[in-house]
Amino acid sequence: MISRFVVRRIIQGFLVIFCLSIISFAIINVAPGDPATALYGDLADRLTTEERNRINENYGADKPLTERYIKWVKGVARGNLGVSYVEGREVTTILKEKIPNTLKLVSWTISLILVCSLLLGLKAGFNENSFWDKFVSGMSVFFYSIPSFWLALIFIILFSVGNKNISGSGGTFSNLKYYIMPVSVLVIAHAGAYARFIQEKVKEEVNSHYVIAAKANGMDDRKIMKGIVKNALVPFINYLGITIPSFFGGSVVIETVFSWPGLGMLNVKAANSKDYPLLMGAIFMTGILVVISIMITDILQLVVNPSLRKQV
Amino acid sequence: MDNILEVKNLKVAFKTKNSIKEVIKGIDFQVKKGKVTCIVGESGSGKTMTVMSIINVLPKNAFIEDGSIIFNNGNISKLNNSEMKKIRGKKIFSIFQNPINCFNQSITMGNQLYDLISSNMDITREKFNDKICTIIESLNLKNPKVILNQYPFQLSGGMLQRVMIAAAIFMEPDIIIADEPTTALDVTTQKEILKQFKLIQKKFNTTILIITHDFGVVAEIADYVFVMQKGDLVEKGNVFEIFNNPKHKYTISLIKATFDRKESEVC
Amino acid sequence: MKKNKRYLIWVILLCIIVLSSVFAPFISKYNPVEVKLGNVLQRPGAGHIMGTDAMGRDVFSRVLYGGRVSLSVGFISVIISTIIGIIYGGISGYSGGKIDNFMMRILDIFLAVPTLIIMLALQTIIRGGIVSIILVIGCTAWIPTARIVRSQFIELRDKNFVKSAVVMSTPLWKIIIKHMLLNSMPAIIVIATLTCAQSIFMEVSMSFLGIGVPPGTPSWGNMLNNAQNDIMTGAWWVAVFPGITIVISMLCINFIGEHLKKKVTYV
Repeated sequence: MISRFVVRRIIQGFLVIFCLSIISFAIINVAPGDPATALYGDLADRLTTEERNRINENYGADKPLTERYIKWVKGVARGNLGVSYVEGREVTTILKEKIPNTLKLVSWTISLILVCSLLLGLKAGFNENSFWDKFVSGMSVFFYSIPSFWLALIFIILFSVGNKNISGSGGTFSNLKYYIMPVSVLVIAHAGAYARFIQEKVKEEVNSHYVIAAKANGMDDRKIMKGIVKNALVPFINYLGITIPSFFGGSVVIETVFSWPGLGMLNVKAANSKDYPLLMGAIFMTGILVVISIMITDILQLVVNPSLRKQV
Repeated sequence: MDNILEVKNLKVAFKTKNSIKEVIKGIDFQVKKGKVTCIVGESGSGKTMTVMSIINVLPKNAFIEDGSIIFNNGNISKLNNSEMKKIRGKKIFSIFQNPINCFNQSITMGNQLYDLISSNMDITREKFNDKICTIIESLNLKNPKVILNQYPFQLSGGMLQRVMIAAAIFMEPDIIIADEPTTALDVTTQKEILKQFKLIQKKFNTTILIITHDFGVVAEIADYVFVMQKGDLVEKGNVFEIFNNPKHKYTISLIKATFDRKESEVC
Repeated sequence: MKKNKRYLIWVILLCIIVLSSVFAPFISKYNPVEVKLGNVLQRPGAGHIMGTDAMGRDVFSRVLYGGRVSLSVGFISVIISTIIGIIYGGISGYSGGKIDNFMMRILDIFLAVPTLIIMLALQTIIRGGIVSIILVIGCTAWIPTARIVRSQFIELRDKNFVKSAVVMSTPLWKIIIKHMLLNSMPAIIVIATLTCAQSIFMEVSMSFLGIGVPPGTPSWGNMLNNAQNDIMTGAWWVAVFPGITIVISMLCINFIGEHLKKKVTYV
């Protein structure tokens, strides 16, 4: 049972990446602009046709679409994602530099969000109609109505302007200080939604029949709660899996605000400078990261609730 | 033969947005020790509410307006939660309708039952396993060890109900309350389950309180009958009196509905 | 009772914001696009209640005019995405079986794609104006709607009144529209409301990144993009006021959506 599930997920993962690659490849190659324009920007107008053709030939931009795609796919299989138009370096090298930064940001963010939302949401869910319950319900809507990048700007206004020590730009990233701002912005903006989710699931479970039956026969509250949490965690992890793509999308914005040299900012830079190999590579890698995270959440669901293996 | 449970002038009401709605309008009854008593009535008559108020697991917006519930010569209607816990499960065990809804679908039967039993008494897992397996076997279920390792959705309604009964037997309570225990089951399983109740009563002298809307069940195992209609207790008595000489109109119509089916009325 | 009226505050606030944007020329006397380099970065005060930005433009009027863009993008793209969602979800839900399975798998694939990134890619090419943004957002925001419509249709398909309509040879379009669509309307309205907030959010995010509406047109997201540099010099008003307007609009829509959700789920 379990292997069939995992296999199905892996196939789906491949399909996602495949679709992503086709979409981005198609889009990018329909776009106006060629390697010469990317390299030289406006100065490209001054190039002679010969020079232009030479540059384009160098980058293989003159061959038909399908051939280029197949060449790209073959390259990917070998670990070669092409060469950046703008920087001239291998895309893979550039990616290797930036991805860890995004990963660190995302993992800190998700860990803190999980801790906060579970603490708040569980406490609210088990104490229906209490202050916590109403607080989480109301506050979560409030917080997820705030765009994270605006919150980032406000934080910068409040904490950075004047004292430059916490602005999250540049520098080494082993220094925890730089994480405080972007991570806290993301956690504040998103933890509410997750807290609300688990709060609602817990409330649903608390009102279900098996809880009443257990209470009626004197089962300890702690044991009942353990069972409820187990049931509520599964859809919660599922929800986490579904919203993970938005984390990687959102990192695009947050990284821009804090000048965080990660995958998101790379996407924006590449798009703005029409550096297509880099853009393709960046989109592709983002897709892979998303798929891996979704698979991790799926496996987590099975770990938390082994009964899923036997259902269906 | 004394009364193990006495209910006096019990009034239970629901708090709705704007008003208070009474669902049980002041009922009195006595449950005799060691006998099988059936509470009958149609849906909405207040049967379930009555037993839920006995063990005080009423839904959120329901409350006991008035009255007293005397169990083993002590008034339990005003006890707080932690004191009630000493009674729930140990002295009064409840079995509900729709056995599939009574279990947590993501925990194995063995773990759930052990959680339940160990909340009520100190017992090691091994001793629990041994005893529960013996009881399950005595209920005509084969392979108790396998059953304990299953999840609730892997077992049939009849098996689940029997496992519940096994838990009840394990606890050896003074009263077993069964709320429509056979409604969700097929006819042959029904007979089996009712037989089990009868056996428990004989062997352990447990008082059994069964709620049902089916007079067939009453005929099968009841010693005493209480008839409820719209929150009132309209008739009570010994089962033979009720069948031979029903006094209230409602009782008569209930009995007729179950037993008096002439062929000309079919189709 | 009072609790239920609370949502009115949000409705009123939203109306204020929408109407102010619609009637922007009557409310503010300043031109939102005209550059007045003499007036750069003035603090909020008499004359400019929200101050001026780096190009000397009045922030208040830019907020009002920007509202036109951001809100209309939000509202119109919701209509598009809801229509696409209803069609996709409807076909999937009504067909059931293999078609449904297949369509849902495709949906799962779409879900895994971070929309912002695809929009990034799309917008670098289609450097269109407001229309293209509306289309792009509309074509990516339909997924939650499709899911909800599909689950509604699946539930309704098994209901007896639909089955009897089929048996009576009611034409298909009538069944789908009168029976299934009409009954799914409450759920559709709820998800459309929440999608509206999402779409506005998307537009603001994209404009913030510079890939949204063309830089000349005032939009809340644009203003925040420009504000990034300004706040470093202490001009907090350029970022705070548009942001607060965004937050309030989103709050209104989200709370209205929550209220609608409560009304729908009790049923």
